[in-house]
Amino acid sequence: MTTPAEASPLIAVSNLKIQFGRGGSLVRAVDGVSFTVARGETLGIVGESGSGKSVTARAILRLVQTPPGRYAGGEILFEGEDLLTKSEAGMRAIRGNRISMIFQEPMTSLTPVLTVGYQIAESLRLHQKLSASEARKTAVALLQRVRIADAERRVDEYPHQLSGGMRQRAMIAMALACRPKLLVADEPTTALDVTIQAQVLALLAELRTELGMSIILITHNFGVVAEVADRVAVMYAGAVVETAPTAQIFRDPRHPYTKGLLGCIPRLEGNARRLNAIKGSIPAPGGLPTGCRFHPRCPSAMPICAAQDPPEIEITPGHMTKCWLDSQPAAEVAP
Amino acid sequence: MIQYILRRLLGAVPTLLLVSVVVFLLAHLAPGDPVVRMLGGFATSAEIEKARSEMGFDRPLAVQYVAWLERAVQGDLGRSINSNLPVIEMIADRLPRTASLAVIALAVSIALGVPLGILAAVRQNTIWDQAAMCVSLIGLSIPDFVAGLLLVILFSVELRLLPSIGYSPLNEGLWPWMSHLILPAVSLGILMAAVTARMTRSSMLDVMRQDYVLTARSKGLGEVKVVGLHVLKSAMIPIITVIGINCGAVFRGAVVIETLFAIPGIGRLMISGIEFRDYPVIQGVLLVVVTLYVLINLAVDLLYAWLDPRIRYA
Ligand SMILES: Nc1ncnc2c1ncn2[C@@H]1O[C@H](COP(=O)(O)OP(=O)(O)O)[C@@H](O)[C@H]1O
Ligand SMILES: [Mg+2]
Repeated sequence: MTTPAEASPLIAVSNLKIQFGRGGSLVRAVDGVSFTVARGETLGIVGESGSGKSVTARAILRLVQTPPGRYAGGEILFEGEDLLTKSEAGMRAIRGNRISMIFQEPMTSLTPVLTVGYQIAESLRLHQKLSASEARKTAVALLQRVRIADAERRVDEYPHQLSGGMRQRAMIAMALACRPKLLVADEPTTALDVTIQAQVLALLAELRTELGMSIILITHNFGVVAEVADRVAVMYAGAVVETAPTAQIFRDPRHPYTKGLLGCIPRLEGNARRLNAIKGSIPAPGGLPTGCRFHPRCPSAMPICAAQDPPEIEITPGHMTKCWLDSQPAAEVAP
Repeated sequence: MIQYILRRLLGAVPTLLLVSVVVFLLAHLAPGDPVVRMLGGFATSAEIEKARSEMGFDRPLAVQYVAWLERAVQGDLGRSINSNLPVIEMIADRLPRTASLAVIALAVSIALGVPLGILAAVRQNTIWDQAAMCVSLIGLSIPDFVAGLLLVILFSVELRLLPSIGYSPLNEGLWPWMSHLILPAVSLGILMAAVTARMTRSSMLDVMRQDYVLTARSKGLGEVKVVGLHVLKSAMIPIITVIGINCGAVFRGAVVIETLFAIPGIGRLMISGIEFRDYPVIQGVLLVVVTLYVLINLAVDLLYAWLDPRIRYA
């Protein structure tokens, strides 16, 4: 099992901060997020809706719109380069080429007025300088690879002519056209029905091995994580509160938020229930509580939780959590 | 696609028939007796009745309508009561002038409106956006004849660059034709440009919020490709709609502008037709203009289908 301490991770996000608005209406959507992904590894990022997962995902490709957004701090080291300080042209050369992204809504993620084939060919022509006809041929091959039947015909069709599952496959074909090192998948199966979900996840896992790429798989569904992730980062209100290898987090969840999430896993094969077993709701990122950001909803909150943000501690190698329950008593009396 | 075009063409037939009924009735139900008017105040009632039956005005309306439509379909729109010239010839004579004016005015409105709207959308909430929207608000609030007068004062009277009235046919040279049409076309185009700019901006902004724009950016495409292809092509339908509506408005505007610039076009023919209660002229002009309007709408619909595959395959 890979650990975050491994020599050279493919990507290392540290203390990432992204804010929206300013002054009184400042929203800290991402507030000090750190994680790493090793080469070939799949990291699952789990958290309720509104916890800042999508903003984190966009930030990796530096696609958070500024304004209204603002990169307020931190680093995103990808193969040793900080993406936050790269030129816009440098980022364009990375997007769709070394890092790709797929999104939640297959129905709205493809441009409706351009053919599927054209949209796949676009990255190939841009990054690999293929001619239009070479790119089209490659697009057909890619569609076949993601198991779209009748790819020769589908390549000239428009997104609305494809089913949701097929569109998501086409998105995957598009994202993987240039054999990226990293795929950021933001809830790629949330909008699909369960049988299609399983197929798409299996396809992703298969392509990961084939291309040797890393995946950041964002989801609010622990069932999806169990299926494909090597390691899990649990996000709450703009911060990572627990990280561990997948098996470990199911065996020994430490953070009360993780435990809460695990208490209500929507089964992949069952109906996709929303995570709602935890009382209360995620705070508006504008009004984060003092101390531990989870304490108002925490069943085991102690006085210190409201006063001070817990430090990150390592339970076992690779298993980190930010919770006073696991901190040394010494930390409680620390100034 | 061919099938779609045929279907739409067939669909236009009932519309045109309905229009023909309205046009026919409009002239016949209007107050004022054209026969009396034509014969002058001194005709006896026997003379009036005689003329009335000669012209078929004494027959039932339905019969008159069918006869009129039959002739109209064959290109016979009757003779002007006033000048006794065939109406179809009068229209054929004037239509190229109005069409020239309309085409240039539309071209002006598109050439100004679309880029202005794109600029405003791409630079949303910046000084560029505010300036563009301010300019378009001015364009919206100036009546076309006021714009025309101001333009004439500046370019004809002060700078002496362009003629202030009249028309020169295209076969007598490109520049004389152009120079006579620039001022009227710009006066007519300003309002349409403003409307086009606003629609372009809002439609582009609408599209720029869509997920697929983020997808396009995530592929590494530059802004020119993202905005110029993915956004603009997706945002085209409402823009084309407004341009189509402008095509209709341009005929309405032509009535005023042709008068102001003394261009003997369809608009002025219509006005003189109304002045003299010249039924055949009024009917002929209305029929031609409305038919053109229906055809333009049809062309716009076909353009939709060409631009948006979701319509084509529906
Ligand atoms: N464009 C934006 N403008 C203002 N606030 C935003 C914007 N995008 C995201 N946010 C804020 O960031 C928070 C996290 O959003 P998001 O990353 O989409 O959550 P998740 O993907 O985990 O459901 C949201 O609660 C929202 O308030
Ligand atoms: Mg999200």
